[in-house]
Order: sequence, then C-alpha cells, then structure tokens
Amino acid sequence: MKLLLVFLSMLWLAGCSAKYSSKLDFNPTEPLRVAVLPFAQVDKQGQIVESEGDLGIDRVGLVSQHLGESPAEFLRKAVQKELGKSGLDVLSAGLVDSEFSHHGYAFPDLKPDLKKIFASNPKDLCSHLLNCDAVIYGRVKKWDRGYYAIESVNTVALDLQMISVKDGRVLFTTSGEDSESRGLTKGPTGFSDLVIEPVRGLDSEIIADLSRRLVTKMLAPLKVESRPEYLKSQAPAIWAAAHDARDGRVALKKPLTVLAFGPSGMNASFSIGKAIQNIPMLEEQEMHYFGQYYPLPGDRIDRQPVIVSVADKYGRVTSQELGNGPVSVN
Amino acid sequence: MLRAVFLTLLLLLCLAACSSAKAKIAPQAAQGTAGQIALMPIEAPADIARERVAYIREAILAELRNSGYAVLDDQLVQKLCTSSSCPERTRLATDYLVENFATLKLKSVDRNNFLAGYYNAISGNLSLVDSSGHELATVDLTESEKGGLIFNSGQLFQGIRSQAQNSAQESFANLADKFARSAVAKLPRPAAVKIGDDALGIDIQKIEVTPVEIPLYRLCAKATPRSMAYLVINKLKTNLRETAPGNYCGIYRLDGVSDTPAVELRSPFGNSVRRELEMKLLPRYCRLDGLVSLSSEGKFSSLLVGCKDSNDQRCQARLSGCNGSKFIVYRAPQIPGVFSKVAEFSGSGWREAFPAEKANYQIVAVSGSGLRSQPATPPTQ
Repeated sequence: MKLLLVFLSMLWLAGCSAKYSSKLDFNPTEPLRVAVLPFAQVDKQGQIVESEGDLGIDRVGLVSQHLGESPAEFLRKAVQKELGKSGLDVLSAGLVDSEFSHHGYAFPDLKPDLKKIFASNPKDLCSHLLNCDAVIYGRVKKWDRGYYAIESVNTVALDLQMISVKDGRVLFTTSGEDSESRGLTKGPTGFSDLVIEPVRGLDSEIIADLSRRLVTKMLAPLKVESRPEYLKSQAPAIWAAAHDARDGRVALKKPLTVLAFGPSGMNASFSIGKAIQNIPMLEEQEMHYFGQYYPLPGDRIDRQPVIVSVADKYGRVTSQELGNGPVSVN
Repeated sequence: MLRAVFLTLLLLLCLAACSSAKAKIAPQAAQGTAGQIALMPIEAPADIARERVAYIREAILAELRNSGYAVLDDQLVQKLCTSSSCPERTRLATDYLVENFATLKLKSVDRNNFLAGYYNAISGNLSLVDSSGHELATVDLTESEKGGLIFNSGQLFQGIRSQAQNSAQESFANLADKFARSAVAKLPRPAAVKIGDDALGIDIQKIEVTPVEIPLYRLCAKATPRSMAYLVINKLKTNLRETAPGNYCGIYRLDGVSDTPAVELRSPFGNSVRRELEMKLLPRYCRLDGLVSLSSEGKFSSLLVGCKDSNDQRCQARLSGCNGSKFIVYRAPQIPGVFSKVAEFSGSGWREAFPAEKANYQIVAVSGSGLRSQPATPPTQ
C-alpha cells in the first residue's frame, strides 16, 4: 500500500511539474522583422537528433487522430501562430522554408538541413536570404508519451532563443516544460476507467493541446498585457487633442496640424482613417505633442476621422478620435 | 474477457471522434497547386458574432501561411472586395498575380453548456478555386469538442477542470484554431514560392530626400510598383503613397527622431525589404526657437545662441542641428518696423559694437548648404 502511495505521488508530481523561465532584453513593441527558423529536436546533450516520429500506439485508429507532422514542425507552427499576436513582424514560414530550399539549406526531399541552418551565422541568413532583423531558434528537448498501465503522462519541453542580426545580441530567451496526465491522478470513477483513460491519454489531441498551452505561456512576456509594469503604472492618456482643419477641409499645399496634450515621454502619432497612417508627433514642449500632415497632389480623403494615439515605453497604446470632426482632402 | 475487450473498443470508438472532415480534391490539384492565394471575405450567418468570424478568419490566414501558401495581404482584399463573393477578384489576379482564391462559408458556431458538461462545434466549408473559377478543392468540416463531467465521466478531476476551462475566453479561440488547422490540412499542398519570383520579388532602388520648408523634408523611394511602402520612424510605420508607378512619397519632419529612419517596402504577399536613410547626408535645418537670448553688458547688447541648461537633451539636440551654421543679426528700431542686417557671426555669441539703443533684434541661421532658418526673436528683457 505504501509503495502504491509513493508511486501515485510520483506520478502526480510528474503531472504537476510545469517549469517556465524567460529573459527579455529588448522592447517588444519595436517592429522587428523576425524569421522563425525550422525547429530541431535535441537530445540531453543538446545535439540535433532525427524526430522520433509517432509512438506506435498513435497509429491505432480507434484511439487517436494522427498528428500528421513531426513534433518540431508542430511546435514551430504553434510558435509562429502565437508570435502573430505580438507586435513583431513575423515572416511567413512558407517563404522561409522556400528560401532555404532554394539556397542549399535543404535536402533533395526538401526537408531542411537543420545542422547547416543552426551552424550558419544569423547575419548571413537574414541579409542574404530572408531580409529580417532577428531569427528565432527552437529546440525541442522533450516530446514524451509515457504509458504506465494505470496512468499515462505526456511531456513537452521547448527552448526558444531570439537573436538580433544587427549585433548578435540575444534579445529574448524562454524555456518551458509541462506535462499532462490521464489515469489514476485525474480521479477515475470506475475500474474500467482505470484501464481506458490511460489509453485515451495517449491521444495526439492531448499532447497537441499541451504544446499549444506551453507555447502560449512561453511567449507571454512578448505581449504588453503580460508585463509586470503593465499593472504597476498608469496607462498613457490623451488629455486633449484637436486639429486645425476649418470645416473639415484640408487644402493642398497647407498642412493639417494636430496638437495633443498628454504625459511627457510618450510616442505619439495620428492617423486619418486608413488612408494616412501613423504620422509621428513630436513633443515640442513638455506634454505638448505636435504633428503635421502635408497632402500630396494625389491624396484623396473623404470625411475620415482623425485619430491620435500615444504609446508608452511598455507598448500600451491609448487612442482617441478627435472631437472636432472628420476631414477631407481633394 | 472477449466481451470486455469488445465493449472497451466500442466505447473508445464512441468517444474518440472530434473532427469530421470531408475533402474533395480535383484531379488537377491532387499533386499540389499554385501557392499564391487570396482569402476572400467570409460568408457567415448573421447570428454568428462578428468578432468570432474575424477570429476564425485570422486563424485561417495564419494556417494558410504556416502551410506554405503565400497569402495576399488582407488589407488589399478588404479594400477591393465589396462583398463575400468578391466579383472584383479578377483584379487581384491581374494586379497582384494571385493564382487561387480560398473561400470560407461558416455554417454555425455552437456553444452548449449543460453545467455538468459542454459541447462546442464550428461547422463550415473551405474551398479553393483557381483564377478561372474552377474548383480545386472543397473541405466540409465540423470541428467539435466536448468535456465536463458528462463527457469525462471516467475522470472526475479532468471533468471538473475541463468544465472550468470551457468558461474562459480561450476556449473559443482554441476550437477556432483547431478548425482552421483541420480545414487547411485537407487542402492540396502548395507549390513552393520563391522570394525572387515575380509576385514576391521586391527591391528599393533609390531614396531621395529633399527639403521642402523648415522643418519638412519630402521623401521619395523608387521601388517595385504595386507594393506597400512605409517610413519606419521612432518605432512607428507611416505609409508612403504611390504617386506614380514605383514612386512612393511623403512629407515628414525628420529632425528630432530617436532612431535612424528607414524605408520599408512590403510585397502584397508579406515579404519585405528595408533600407535606412543616410541621416548624415540630409540637409540640416537649424531651429533657433528657444536657443537665442539677449543680455546687456553695460550699454552694450549681446546675443547668445545656446542652451540655458546643458542637461536639456531636447535643447541640445536642436542646437546640434545648428553646428556649422553662421548667424545673421537683424535690427529694427521699433515694432512694427523694418529689420536691417547689422552683423554676421559664427560661434555662440555676438556683442554690439556700439552702445545699444533700445532696439529689436532677430537672428537667422544659415547652414553650410545655404538653408535659412525661421527668424528667432530673443525674449525681451
């Protein structure tokens, strides 16, 4: 009985051993162009290994949907998708892979030559192939499905590293390891469940969901609302703003001037509908922001709102549509 | 024993199915299809919340890009298409070399919570047609998920946990992501697209910056036509307008910026190139406002150009724009009155050569390239 309790405790602890760590060394609101390189599966020594492929149990049609791609491919897609929600400008995976295959970084079957990619200088990859400001390396350290008769445990571990091409600096690094179990530790309600649930726990859906949650938590520091300063300080504000277009008309050869009054040190801009985006406003005097839009002869704008935005150093943005009406340029 | 095994397997079969997808691929697309596509506006019944439709659209776009398709920038599609059928789509083919069109028709988004269990489902049809309107593939898909105690009767804690997770915002997002993944996985594989190909190959040939009037510069970039060009300045991207094919322009202030500005050119399929402006080569304006002061030394007046507080970064930045400039002093006996030139100096100060009468002064800075600043009047004593 004691042995059983110890075994159960170990299994339970195995299912509750989530580990996450990250270090951020850049402003994630910077519009960096980032290429997510093909991920590699690595062993305990950090050496690149071939993907293990699926477990045999995964091929049993009644139990599980086939994942359809290697763990490294699956995690790379999850990271790519999650990065799309951050402020970074992420290159499409299809373009990255295509450029690699066209420039000798892939085998004849178009699978990426991971050893060559990981050994290459990021500056060469970005400057000559991809046109990017930073690259992200991903190393899959664990993708395990363990079956223990009355319990099954899925474990995923991933390391990500973002490196600047400009100076080789590590801009962001994050590691995560998490597990999900089925069977005894999740409270079986009958003896048959004690047999069935661990088998169901090997379903690819479970490890896929676990991977997505892992990636979401690992990349949380890149999102503005996840940063601790977000809650500790006041969000940026626009105390007053106005433009000078009389009757909403902006004449050619005369600028539209926009003034805004807000906290000092913000990054301010204004837009006119969707046609004119993010004209910078400079802090001419403390708390006073000033910007001008000079129409070009071909500009045509019809009753579009003027919207001022201010962003603080944490990336929080406040926007306000100006109350003195839309403007037109023709 | 055999009966127990049979019943176990039957139970597993009943509980396993989460996604039902029926895919029909045309023979010409069986080995793959062209990779440059555009996603048309989604058709959805009015009872599906617009935010959910928008999320599903973003999920499909992300999956298409992750699967190797070169997807046309959504802004261009939204700008051109007036309805979900998008009769204007032929222009996307001619202007941007789009080869195939993907259309999603959402049938339903169901969320059913039974307190002790839940069942959610998204149902729709994703189809791919070529530029001639021939159907290449169609995927009819229902992606569902169930949980809670009713559907996890064998796992008490898991049932409670999944019920709690279902009430969170992320649960719809997770199901929508799975729907997108399952639908796109059934489409034909795209042919690899190379950045140098016609639709994706882009280049910035030249950037010209000319002064307009203080403190504005006209910036024009000669680059690949029918792309999207931006000036990246102070961590913002402001759009340049295509005034002629391949000529992208805008008028901006380029002084007072914290980072080196750059021109970014983006193809309609998302790849981009950047080129930084050579700030050293820009003709510099000197802006004297706040830099000029007048003092009396006995009966003589002195004009000084500089910052009162040496730690004032903004002032120092403005002063650095006057490096290499000479200053011309104008004086008028009264205001209103005519200002006449009385002196010219370089360096930071000038002292009147004769005892000063009560007079009004203005200073104009002239840069090495001949650009004149706005006149600055020192504050009256």
